[in-house]
Amino acid sequence: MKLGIVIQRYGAEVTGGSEQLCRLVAERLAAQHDVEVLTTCARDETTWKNEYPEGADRVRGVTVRRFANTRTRDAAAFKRSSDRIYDNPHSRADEMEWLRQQGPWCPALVEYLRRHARQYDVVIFFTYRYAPTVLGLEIVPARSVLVATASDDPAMQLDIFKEVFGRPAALCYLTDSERRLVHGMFPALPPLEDVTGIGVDLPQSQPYPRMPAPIDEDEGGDDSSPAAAGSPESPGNDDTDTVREFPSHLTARGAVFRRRHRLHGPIVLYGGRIDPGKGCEELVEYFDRYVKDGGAATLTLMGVKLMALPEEPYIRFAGLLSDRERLQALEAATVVVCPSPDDSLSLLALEALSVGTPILANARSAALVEHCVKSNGGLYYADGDEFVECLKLLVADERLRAAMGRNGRDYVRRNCRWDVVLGKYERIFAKVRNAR
Amino acid sequence: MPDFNVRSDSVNVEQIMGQIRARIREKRGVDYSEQQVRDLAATKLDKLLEQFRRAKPPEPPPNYTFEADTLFESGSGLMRVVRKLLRPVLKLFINPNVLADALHMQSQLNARQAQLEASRHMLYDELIYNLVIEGARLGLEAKSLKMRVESLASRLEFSERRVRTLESTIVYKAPAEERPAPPMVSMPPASPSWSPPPPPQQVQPPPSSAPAPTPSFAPSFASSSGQPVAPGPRPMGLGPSAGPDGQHRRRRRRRRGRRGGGSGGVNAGSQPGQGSPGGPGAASMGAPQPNPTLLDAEAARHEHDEPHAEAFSEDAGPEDAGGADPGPSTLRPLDKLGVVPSLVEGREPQGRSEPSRGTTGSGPSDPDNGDR
Repeated sequence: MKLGIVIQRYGAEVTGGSEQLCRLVAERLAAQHDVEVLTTCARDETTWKNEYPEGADRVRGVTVRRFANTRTRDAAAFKRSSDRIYDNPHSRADEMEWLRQQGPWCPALVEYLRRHARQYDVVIFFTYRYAPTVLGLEIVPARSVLVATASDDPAMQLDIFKEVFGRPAALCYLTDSERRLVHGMFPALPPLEDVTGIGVDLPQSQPYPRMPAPIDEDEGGDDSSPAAAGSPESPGNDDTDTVREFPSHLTARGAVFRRRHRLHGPIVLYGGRIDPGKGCEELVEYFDRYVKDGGAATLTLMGVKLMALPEEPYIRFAGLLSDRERLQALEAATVVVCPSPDDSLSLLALEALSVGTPILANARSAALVEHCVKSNGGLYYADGDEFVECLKLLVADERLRAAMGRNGRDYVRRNCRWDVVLGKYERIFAKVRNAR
Repeated sequence: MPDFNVRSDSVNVEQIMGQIRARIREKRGVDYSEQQVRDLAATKLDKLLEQFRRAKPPEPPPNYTFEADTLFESGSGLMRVVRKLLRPVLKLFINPNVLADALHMQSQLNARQAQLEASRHMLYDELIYNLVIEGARLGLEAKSLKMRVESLASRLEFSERRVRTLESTIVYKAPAEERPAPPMVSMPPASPSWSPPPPPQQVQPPPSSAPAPTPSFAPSFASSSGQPVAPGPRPMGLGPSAGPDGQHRRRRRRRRGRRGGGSGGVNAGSQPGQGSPGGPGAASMGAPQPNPTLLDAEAARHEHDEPHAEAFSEDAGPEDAGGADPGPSTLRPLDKLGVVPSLVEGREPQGRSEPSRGTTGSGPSDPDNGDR
């Protein structure tokens, strides 16, 4: 099957939830199908500046066709336009102008899709709110699948998005809460839909220093939970001898990350864009309250820094880490905090759960609350007081953390397996192709 | 630590969140809604308000109406006519209009005063009602603050107990090598290469239990293999004040004698190059001791080489583990004490007090970090 994937930006270096989801799905689908990604040359969503070269490229086994944007985003003008359009009566032309100002504005991509649409058996659009999706869905509605990644966003109320959600042949959701949100907002939806979710790779057995014991062999991989942090040698482990070659302070869970970044005591970890829009400003404020209330943890932030961080001894910036270091950080963390108020994906939360670290999520994000409640692997906060209390509880109670870690791993193992996720996609693709 | 009863083996997040929210509601005494406060106030002082409402408002003062013809009115029509006919004659003697105007104005003032009294009564009612609500609100806030004070007091008590426990832990390790020492140890001036230690009061054991504080730390710095752990040129808990020379010499002799005896001891620090024991901060207990002269020379070398202290820090890189380096496991109990590593290593304590550490810049890319 030849699959076309349309996404606003694509690349291994691109940070962003839906972009990462798209890349992970594309890489896995590429093993079975002929996958072609149609995207723009932009890397930064705040400017949509053309940074990648135009033309065909190959990224981790996936063919990528990039098209140049004709304009960059004027942030001030876009904000003005957003304010006007959200609060005042407006026409469809106004909404299209808003879409153009939001970017990426890439007529070449749309034109290419118009000319070559027949080549693709199914065209998958990631993220509902950008121009390539809005305009591309008009071209191939019957063969299109929309992975909406919708969240409670004022933009969803615009009329152009009613058409976007009504047009595709199938809709894919990441969580049940996203599905409920979309159903609540749009009456006319395609009959074919499914909660496909996202897959997370469970960390496999690795001798040193990350994961001394195999995960899937014993009951829930308890030995890798935070409670068992100090017991790297476990009976029946093939790598025991290898592990024993190293001192205990190196094989302990998360020891490498802790030593590398000179972190002592409990760690509260955040990973992703460090941005007020992602709830980081609120996170810092709440964490400050936690420390003033007697908390002794260190807030460690990893990712791209897009806001100033206070010069406090209990706030550390770890920078942009590699996948391996990121995993080590998640293991080293006492609690992983997910402060984004409108996160529909929350890959960070799932990754944290997969390594057995409990999460503390923003209660405004329905998807995160759903993960917490369904997995029993994390708590959620609606205000500063709840943040402080939840964090105190999680930091203080090691047994609770261990139990939540076990629950989280079980949840990810049950619900976020890539074979299950890809199976759902395959079924949808088959139905869309057969329906023509 | 939060006062929750969470069964860790069967976690129910919604239940935990319910407990947390209930606890927060309990803590926030003042965060009642306006209606709740009104209800509380009404319940609490209902009787008083009811009494106030039941009290009949005072009777309005009697008033009269006085118009221009009131002076000349009469029940008899004939009299009214006669008075009207004679009114011009009366006006020759007096001016009745002024009298009529004054009395008319007075009657109007009386009416207005009665109206004001009535409205003021309503205002009093409202004011007292609001005062009652404010009183109720302040009562709740006082209750909340009282609870907070109690909570802080209990936390303070816990901290004090923890401090006492830690102090007793330090003292507990001392007896193995405790021996009589002079109450004040005068030290030679410290070498300029290391920074002065933190205030000694933080680590000194209670005077009643340990008259000589310096040796009491020795076991903490010694590794199980008997290797000297840290250069530790620290005059621990002692200032650089110099005493009489005789005392100084006696003390040195005593310390050297102690070393020769094979038991662990702590050097009190001295100027390098004088052969005095200013070197390794701790010789291990029960282990074969090195030659004091060699030890002193080694100590002097360490004293002048401040970065070497870093080699013994807990967060040194993985490449540090080996050889004579005892590794972080040796220092872990000291970390719990919070103050000791800084004394041992002659540097600031890690973690919360040192924001610049731990960033990416000081990460693995920096080979000097924790390097010997």
